[in-house]
Amino acid sequence: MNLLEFARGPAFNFALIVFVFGVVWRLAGLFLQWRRRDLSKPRQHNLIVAGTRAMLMRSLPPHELEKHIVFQHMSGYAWHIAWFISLLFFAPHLPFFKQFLGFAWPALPNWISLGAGAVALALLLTLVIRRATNPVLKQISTWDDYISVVLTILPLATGFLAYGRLLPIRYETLLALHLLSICALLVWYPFGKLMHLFLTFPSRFQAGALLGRKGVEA
Amino acid sequence: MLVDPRATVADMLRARGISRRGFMKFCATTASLMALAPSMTPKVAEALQKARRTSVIWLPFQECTGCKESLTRAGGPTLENLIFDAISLDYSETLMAAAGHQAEEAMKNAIRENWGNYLLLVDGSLPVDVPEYSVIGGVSNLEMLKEVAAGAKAVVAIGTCSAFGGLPAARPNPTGARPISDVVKDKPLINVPGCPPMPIAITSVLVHYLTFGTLPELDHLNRPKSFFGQTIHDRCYRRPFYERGQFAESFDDEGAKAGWCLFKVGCKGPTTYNGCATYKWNLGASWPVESGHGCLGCSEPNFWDWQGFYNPLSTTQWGGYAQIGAAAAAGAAAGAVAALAARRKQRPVGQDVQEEGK
Amino acid sequence: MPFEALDPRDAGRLEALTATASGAHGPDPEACESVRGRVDSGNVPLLLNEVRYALERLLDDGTTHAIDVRAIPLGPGEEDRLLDALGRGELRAEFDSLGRSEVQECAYPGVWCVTHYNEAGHVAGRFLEVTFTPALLASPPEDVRTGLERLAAELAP
Repeated sequence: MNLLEFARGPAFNFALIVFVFGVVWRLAGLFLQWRRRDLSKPRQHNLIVAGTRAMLMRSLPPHELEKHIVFQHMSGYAWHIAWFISLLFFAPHLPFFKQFLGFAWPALPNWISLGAGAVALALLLTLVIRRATNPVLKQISTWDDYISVVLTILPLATGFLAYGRLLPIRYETLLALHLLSICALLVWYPFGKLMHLFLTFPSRFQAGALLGRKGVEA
Repeated sequence: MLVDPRATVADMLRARGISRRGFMKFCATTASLMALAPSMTPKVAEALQKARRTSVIWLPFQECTGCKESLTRAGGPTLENLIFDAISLDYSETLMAAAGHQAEEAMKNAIRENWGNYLLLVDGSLPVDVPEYSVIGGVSNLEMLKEVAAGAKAVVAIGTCSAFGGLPAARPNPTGARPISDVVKDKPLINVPGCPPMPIAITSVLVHYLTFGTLPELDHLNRPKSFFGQTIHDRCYRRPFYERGQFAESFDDEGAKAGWCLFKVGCKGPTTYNGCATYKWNLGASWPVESGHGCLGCSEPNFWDWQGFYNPLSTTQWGGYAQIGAAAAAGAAAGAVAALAARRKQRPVGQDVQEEGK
Repeated sequence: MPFEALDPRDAGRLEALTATASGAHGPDPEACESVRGRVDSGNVPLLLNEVRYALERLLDDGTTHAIDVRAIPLGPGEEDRLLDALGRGELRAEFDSLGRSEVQECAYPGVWCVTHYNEAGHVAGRFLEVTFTPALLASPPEDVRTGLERLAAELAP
């Protein structure tokens, strides 16, 4: 069994099982754990509106801080969007999704999907360097932050290496490294801050609803 | 044809009444066969002046004769076939006129007379677990290979079966088929894989040995770099479509008709090292991708088993919905237990306040 | 494209191509044309540029150059397009040894297309040579010597 066979077979299979098990475990654990019954009298009854409002408002930079965090905020959006464009719309990726879903969607031209990947890669590298050098960010960063961001960068970096044959290494090895980087991402996914893919909006909604019940504008 | 064993290839051609110009033509096409630059032709001419006929023994093991078909049906009397005048094929059960004991005798003589100097060609894999599955004249393939390889100058594994196990070694591999390299450890070994290999890849190894008396440069799987140095994808005329992201989605859609890249219908070109894209098949008529079908990867180890021919390279071998469902169910159970445990620890709202107040 | 419009040297190739592609339904010239016409690996302009620089070098310092056309990955119809682009010049020579061989001067002087056929008439090698005179056109000294011996024998009383 060569490295590519290992990556496409046992490694990916293991990673997928860990990913599904871990994500469902954490989501079930969180959603089934009801909050204690609040006996106080609600100040606001329409909690869905309060929750939705918070979910949307917190997706915008807070007004008071806007000019200080505009780069952090906007680059965050930009790389997320670019990253997903390159993941979901780069033509060779579509058979990957089709194998699970049974259907696929039209790909974007390579110059768009690869361009998006390049933007994501450049921004992520800038952000991780910034995180490691900015005194405040450095203070509040944990291992989880670094591991998560590096594991997000690796599939992009190895993808470009494989596509462009940018190293004097055989293509099948580069492709195997690309797949292994995805395996690493999947395995880490449920256990680090990457879970925010599933939790960001529910938690914003919940915070908004709870605060709304107490009559706080969130 | 009786040939003076000391005669060189040039002598042989001259004896056939071939002019110097014809010899230079032979050298030019020979250099091309070896994937050498045309500027190397004078070097080839110089070497062929001195090259002597080489004794070759060809052993067939668990094989389908497709490799020999590929070579001998290269198309009528070709220049390449002249190579076979320049080598002395002393034993090949399939190709020789002699049969039975006469054939065995011819092989024994060739081995005795050329001990240490002959080239051993092998096609087919070895039934190592059950040697009795393939026997020639009462001698198992395994035993015969060990015996004949002992006196060989070098061993050439022709075809994917002898190079990597090939089809006989496909799951469940009932005979315990193994490649030649599992048995021949102490001799220079060249793999010329392919199912079948390109005729030009086979002849190029013979020609290289005949011309320069050495073996060509090999890659990590012992394949000649001149033919297996680049992937099908590297040299594919459809590569620009890959770069532009234009793919056939099925074998009869507009993309397929327009000749777009076959990656999405399972082409293994990016991971397959072979010369089809350059040298093509059937006298240069076409090759699989030009005919509209993706590369199967036949010159790579384990090509039959490692994934379906129509699964794109960017798919994986995941365990199926049942396995994912089981993982999800296990996750849900673990989550439920965790949630339950957490809820048990919760106290009703107000209780903590009361407790503090006590 | 009707078959008769094709260069005869490729009729066999095209027949094989169409026979493979269309199976029992017989050759489909239209389908063939669509494949031949539309696929472009981009190698033809690269080769033409290589020839151009080789010509410059030939004039500068007399360096000759040769390209093994069969060792270049070309798409369907691209070899024809390459040869069409190079055109045919005024000189053409043929010799017969181990099959026919043809030395054709291209429309650009200094560029020669040397095609070797085997005894069955199939192309065994095709080279583009950038040189003032292809070596194959000159009489090789070995052959001159044999010829001289032969002539001397003829003249011997």
